[in-house]
Amino acid sequence: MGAQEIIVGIGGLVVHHNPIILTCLGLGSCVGVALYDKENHIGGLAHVMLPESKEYTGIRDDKNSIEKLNRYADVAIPTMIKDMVNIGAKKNNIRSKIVGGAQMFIQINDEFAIGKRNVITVKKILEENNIPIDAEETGGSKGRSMKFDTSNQEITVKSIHDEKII
Amino acid sequence: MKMEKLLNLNDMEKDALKEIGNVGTGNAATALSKLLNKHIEIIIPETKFVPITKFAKEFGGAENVVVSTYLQLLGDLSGETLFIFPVKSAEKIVDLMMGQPIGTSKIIDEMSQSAFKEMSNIFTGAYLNSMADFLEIKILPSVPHITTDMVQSIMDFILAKVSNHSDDVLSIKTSINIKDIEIEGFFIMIFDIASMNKVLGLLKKMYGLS
Repeated sequence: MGAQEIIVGIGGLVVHHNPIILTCLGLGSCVGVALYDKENHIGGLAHVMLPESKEYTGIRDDKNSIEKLNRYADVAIPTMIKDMVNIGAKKNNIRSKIVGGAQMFIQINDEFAIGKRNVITVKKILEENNIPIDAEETGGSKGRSMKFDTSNQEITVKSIHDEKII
Repeated sequence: MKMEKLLNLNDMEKDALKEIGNVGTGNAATALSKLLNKHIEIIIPETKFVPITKFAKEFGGAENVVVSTYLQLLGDLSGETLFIFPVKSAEKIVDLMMGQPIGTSKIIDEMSQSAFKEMSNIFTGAYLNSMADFLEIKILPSVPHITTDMVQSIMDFILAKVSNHSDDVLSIKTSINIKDIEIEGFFIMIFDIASMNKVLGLLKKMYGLS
């Protein structure tokens, strides 16, 4: 039997011991950030919507305090690292793969350019944390679903046209 | 803060927002009915808050493959509109527009895409015109953009914008149905906060609620 699967919803993040399948469905401009520590058999996945939490202009209450805004790359990635270390990962072992950051309506001259900005910021934050990127499937104009098998660190990336493993 | 007020929209304010949906849909349904030469059934627009995490569920779930046209709203109000149709329904609309037997067109054709965009233009134009007349403001739709993909991937850039200031998305959602040939789809409109407050202000003044 295959491993249990957890769907990581938009703006959410999950860390878990192997074996587990962590899944993001229908990534457009959003970016799925997969982290793993092979040696300690721990993986994590964040479904990032936006680059930086300083852009947030909503209400900040207990539920929406900055450190809980996992929809932002600059909050989600450090939180995921901390959560992984809390359940036994070593920060120096952590590596990554990233998927998503498309622009779905290519014709738009969109100042917001959210997909592109998400990818750039995710990469910047990974670099700041000395986390290498082993593979990526980003940009373009197609939606993607990803299934991250933490036991072999393989990610199946599926669009409506094709499927590949990174 | 303005946002707080918006999140605690009272019944009267919700009804007022529904009203602008009603004003638009009547006119848009007539225009679409003329274009397709079919009776269009429109379900009264729903104005409600939905958690961003649950929004794709309203349209068949994250991976549901749909044809979608996106138009940006500019002018006195800013916001976005999306048409969301299952692929089969979109193709039937194109067949009706081109006067060909149902089942002929494929939405991947450039010709079919232009026809579908044209439909979106006509519907949105009629919708916004009556809304703008009613509110005595100017609203300009951008040119339409089209894609076919998973519904969550199509709308996540709009949800991202909304989530920069809220956990919930407030949309005005209209269901479009043509019963005898089983076409179903949605037209949704999402305003930014400033525009939503502007609309509420205008409506309140109009109804003497303030």
